[in-house]
Amino acid sequence: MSIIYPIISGAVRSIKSIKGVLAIWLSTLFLVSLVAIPMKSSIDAVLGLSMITEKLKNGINFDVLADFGTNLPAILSAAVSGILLLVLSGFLVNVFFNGGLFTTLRNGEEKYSSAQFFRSAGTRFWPFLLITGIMSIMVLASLLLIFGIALGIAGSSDSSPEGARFRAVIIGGLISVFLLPIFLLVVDYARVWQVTSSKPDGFKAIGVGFRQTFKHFFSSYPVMFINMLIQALFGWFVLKFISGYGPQTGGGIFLLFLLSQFLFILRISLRVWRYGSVTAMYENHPV
Amino acid sequence: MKKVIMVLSGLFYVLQLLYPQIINPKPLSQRITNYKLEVELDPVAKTVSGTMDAFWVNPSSDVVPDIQLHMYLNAFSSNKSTFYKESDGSPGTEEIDYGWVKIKSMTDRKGNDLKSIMKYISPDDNNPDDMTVLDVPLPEAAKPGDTVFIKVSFVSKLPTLTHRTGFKDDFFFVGQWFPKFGVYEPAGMRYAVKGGWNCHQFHYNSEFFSNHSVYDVKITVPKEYVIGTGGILLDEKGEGEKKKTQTWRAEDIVDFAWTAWPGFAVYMDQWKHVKITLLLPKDRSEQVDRQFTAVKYALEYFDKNVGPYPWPYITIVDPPKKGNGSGGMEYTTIFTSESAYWMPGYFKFPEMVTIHEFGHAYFMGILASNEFEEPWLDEGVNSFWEERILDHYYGPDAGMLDHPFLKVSDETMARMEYVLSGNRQVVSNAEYSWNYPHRTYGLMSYMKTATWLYTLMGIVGEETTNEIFKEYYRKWAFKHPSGRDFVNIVNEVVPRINGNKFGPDMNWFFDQTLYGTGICDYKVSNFFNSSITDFKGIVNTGDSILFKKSGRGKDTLFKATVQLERLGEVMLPEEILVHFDNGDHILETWDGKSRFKDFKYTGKRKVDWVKIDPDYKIKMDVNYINNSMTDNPDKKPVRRYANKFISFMQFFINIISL
Repeated sequence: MSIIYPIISGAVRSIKSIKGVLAIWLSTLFLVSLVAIPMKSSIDAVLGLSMITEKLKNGINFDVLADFGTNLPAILSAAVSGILLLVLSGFLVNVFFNGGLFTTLRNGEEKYSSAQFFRSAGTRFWPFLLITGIMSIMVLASLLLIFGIALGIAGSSDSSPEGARFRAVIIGGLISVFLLPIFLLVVDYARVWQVTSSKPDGFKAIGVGFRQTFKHFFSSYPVMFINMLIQALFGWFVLKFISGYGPQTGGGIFLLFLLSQFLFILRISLRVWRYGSVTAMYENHPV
Repeated sequence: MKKVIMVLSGLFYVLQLLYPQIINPKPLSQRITNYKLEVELDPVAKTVSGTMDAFWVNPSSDVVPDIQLHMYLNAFSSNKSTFYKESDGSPGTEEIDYGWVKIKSMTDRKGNDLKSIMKYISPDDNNPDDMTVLDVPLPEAAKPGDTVFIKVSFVSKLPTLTHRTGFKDDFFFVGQWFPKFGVYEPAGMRYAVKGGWNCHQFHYNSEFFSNHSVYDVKITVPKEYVIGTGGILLDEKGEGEKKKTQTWRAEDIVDFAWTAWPGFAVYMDQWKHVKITLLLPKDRSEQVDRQFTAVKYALEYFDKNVGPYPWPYITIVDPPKKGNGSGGMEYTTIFTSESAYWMPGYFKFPEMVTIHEFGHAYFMGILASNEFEEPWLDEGVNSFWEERILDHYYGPDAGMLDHPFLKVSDETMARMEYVLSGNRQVVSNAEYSWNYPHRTYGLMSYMKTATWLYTLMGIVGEETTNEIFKEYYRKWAFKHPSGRDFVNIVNEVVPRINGNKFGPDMNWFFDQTLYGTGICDYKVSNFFNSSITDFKGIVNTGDSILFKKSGRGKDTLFKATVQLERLGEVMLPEEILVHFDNGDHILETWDGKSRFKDFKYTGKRKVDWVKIDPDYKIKMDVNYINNSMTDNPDKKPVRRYANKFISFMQFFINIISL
């Protein structure tokens, strides 16, 4: 099978799943706002009617942070717990929506209703949570292992060369870049299989994911690698844009909000494109 | 007294003939002490052993019965030394970790044995286990102008690299390693009311107070070792096939340190008359340019704003990672920096360390204050200059971190540490280094000092500040100034330039900042505008009663009131910028002494914002947020950050959800 077909098919399926994409966008925005808006309000309250914000025009200013005084630990503590809860709930919400997305990405499912989408998301939540949870742990453990071993070897002796640790991090990073598509293929194949299966079985799904990945490795891997490459480039652009753009006017700030949300919708679409491509590959070689 | 001075002058002249000039055309200091050392490094036993011929000239009109010597390596001889009692630590677990210095023999000029009569003393804390100060009674007391010669044979065992000195494998940084004279302070010098030795024990937080001296040092090491010292290399010769001996000379410095390691690469550069030598690990070459650039910036800035760098050389040591314990130390003409192979250019940590440690050539080296007793005069003043240099050359907001996403000024870091500390009022700056409670030594002697020096500069201006330090250099270079001497210089320079603007002297400033524990905090409590209306009410004309209304129009007058408060104990002069809705502004001044201050204005304009210290010059103010008030606060920057936070979190959650 050509690698072109799953890429194109994935893109088409992604476009057709726009409702799912928008659902993820809105729910994530809502979730993040639950933490961001109270944080903003508390900072506004500390700043009150002060003009100190003029020192924030060109970026974060440590003088201002220092002037938060005793308020700073309280704000930071609230921010840290808020962010932790946010990450956890965001993860669960994404797992939930993925159940709906993978169902609607299948051939013949283009005309789905919202009710179908949510029903499917609810039905697949637990197996999807198991699959995503286990694979997340595997990815994390692999990264720790790769970097841990590399740094451990490089730093095992005081007489090791100065740049050894740095080179170890680079090598570890390169290995991770080539390993990550494999994990993503496994988790995606597992989820595709799960939505085609009538019985929820996360463990079996992961097994299928591994089998499919290595059985069709040379056709699957390039597709995933290309998608990851595009996502990485996109991520780099977003990072540069959002970090570098510092509008000073109210209109500019609103524009920043709109543009960043548009970019986020694009980012979700790229992920759904990946799901669509793997679904297309699976349909060509079903278990 | 005149006779003493004449005798001393003659003696110094003779001594200068004994120790001819090699580095500078003229001696820079009095050279009360001088040292000739011949030593050999044993890289296996981790020892430096050899002999020392040294002398001390009695600079006073006193008859001095003894000499006192620093034996600082003994600080690493047990966990009961004052150094380790202060740090709650221990030199290590193995015998090799410990350091000590052992006198094998000590004689005077006549060959009298001094070893049998010498004894360890603990003038600071009476610690019987501390052996870092040696008192040696003289067979014949030293009369005014007498020169006391001693010949010492000693072995110094270096500790595992800990603070400032020691070894790690084949890397050696040899500091505080030989018996060194204390400073005899005649009555009237600094705070001395009567003559006596000022020879402190080795403490966890301070190490320097010595006379400027000439050092002639012969060092024998295995041939493969690269040596760096605080002197210039005069000669090198082989000692058989496996060893070499280098002869080094340094003049008018307060301490002599050196390093030896086979892995050093040596780079050279030049700034005007100063030859710069950089020693760093061979595979760290990408750090070379930034180190040279940083030290050249420091040379240029100090030369312009304080005084000339008087030696024709400087040596920078950037230790390997195994030698990090020696990083960030100063020995006047040699200092250690701290970088790493991977250190990105936007992170200015190596530059900060280099500029800071180089700065000690001025504040400690040239202006040889007593770090034990007045650490602020060394570390604090030097931190102030380090911050100025970094922020001047690398950007006012980027002296510490210059990344497109985040910029941090070096000065801000110091202020932040001071402002956020819960211990900022525990003690004043004017404490001996080991007396700072609650681990406030760093906060007080570095951060608070730099912050109040910035405040002083904010009040008297940058040019006056530079002139203060130029005068301080002119008057006290190669002497031992005290904090009082520095204050006296300020009191002399500020009125000379500014007249009576700040009063007859600046003691009011130092009493509050250097010697006081109060904080500075000014606040705009409120401002409001009330219209001044015409008569409004019942008018009884006799025949009838009329109700007269008053209206508001374009000619309505307003009475604007601005209310300010002083929340802290520190009283400093403040500028207040009052802005009106028609674009006018008025710059008011307030001596800052009363607990509150009101400004009132009458006119057709209304006050729309007020700022205390509009240029943020009073860095000691612990809260800038309450320094201003407006009826239309700009919420945009916070909104912008909230937007960015939302976006980053959305992307992050999306990425981790696979």
